[in-house]
Amino acid sequence: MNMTRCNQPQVDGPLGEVDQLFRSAFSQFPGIGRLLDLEGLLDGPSTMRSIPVDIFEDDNTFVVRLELPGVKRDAIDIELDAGVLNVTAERPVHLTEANTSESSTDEADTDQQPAPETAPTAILTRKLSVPKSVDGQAVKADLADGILTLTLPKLEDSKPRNIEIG
Amino acid sequence: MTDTQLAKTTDATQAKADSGDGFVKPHYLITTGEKAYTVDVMLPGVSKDGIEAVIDGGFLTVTGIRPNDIPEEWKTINREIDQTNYRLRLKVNARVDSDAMTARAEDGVLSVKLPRKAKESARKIKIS
Repeated sequence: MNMTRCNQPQVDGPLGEVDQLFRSAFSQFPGIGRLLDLEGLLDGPSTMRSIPVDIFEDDNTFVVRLELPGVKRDAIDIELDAGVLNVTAERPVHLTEANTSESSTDEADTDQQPAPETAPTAILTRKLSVPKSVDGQAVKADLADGILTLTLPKLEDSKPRNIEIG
Repeated sequence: MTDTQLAKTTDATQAKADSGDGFVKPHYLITTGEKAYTVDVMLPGVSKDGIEAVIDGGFLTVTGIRPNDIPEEWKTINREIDQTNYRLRLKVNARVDSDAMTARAEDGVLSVKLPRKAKESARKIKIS
């Protein structure tokens, strides 16, 4: 087992890729890992996609915006652990039920509809490595019109300060 | 269950909409149902008020305006979300009842329902 000196989270591999976006001023590999197609590897056709992310900063907070159209509140999981912000969301591939039988006489039709548990879903995910200056306890999340906005306040000590000469 | 035969983007008009007009084509999904076609258009970041859906002369046009809500004093660290406004123009090839078209916006997705029009039965024309 390798001993790693750094106290940053390990980069797991293609699936667990943790983006170090907060550290660099520009993202050197904008397109990397955006679309991971796992069809064939998981049960049933399923795709895993990387969520597009915007990050902004001012003196007091970081703001992270994630594009999640068509995703319901309860299908999103946000976790901040050991300096890694992990957002995972699930969205049904077919946003609308296709062959919804609207006539009440046709009961045999219920076989055609995929049961909710087995209906294909797309998994949207993104992992970001978050600076130590973030106050993990005070993170707020807001979902509107398919955009998830996370507000990460900075810890008092890390805010810019003027130092007086005594 | 996508039915790409339902609508084709008129490439000429779409190209005009993309370049220089400041619009980008959103992702969309067409579902064929028994009674209606549904077009789900992904418009994240657009509120209900910023969406316009028009059906006119066999064309369905959906426009979504994204508000530029990033305050000036914020420093940008990473940008991946496209801030461009959305426009989707589809030619409706199938028989639909455009008067009965309905649309619903939820979670950044506009769901347009186009009821299918039953084939008009043949009518005999009386010869006078």
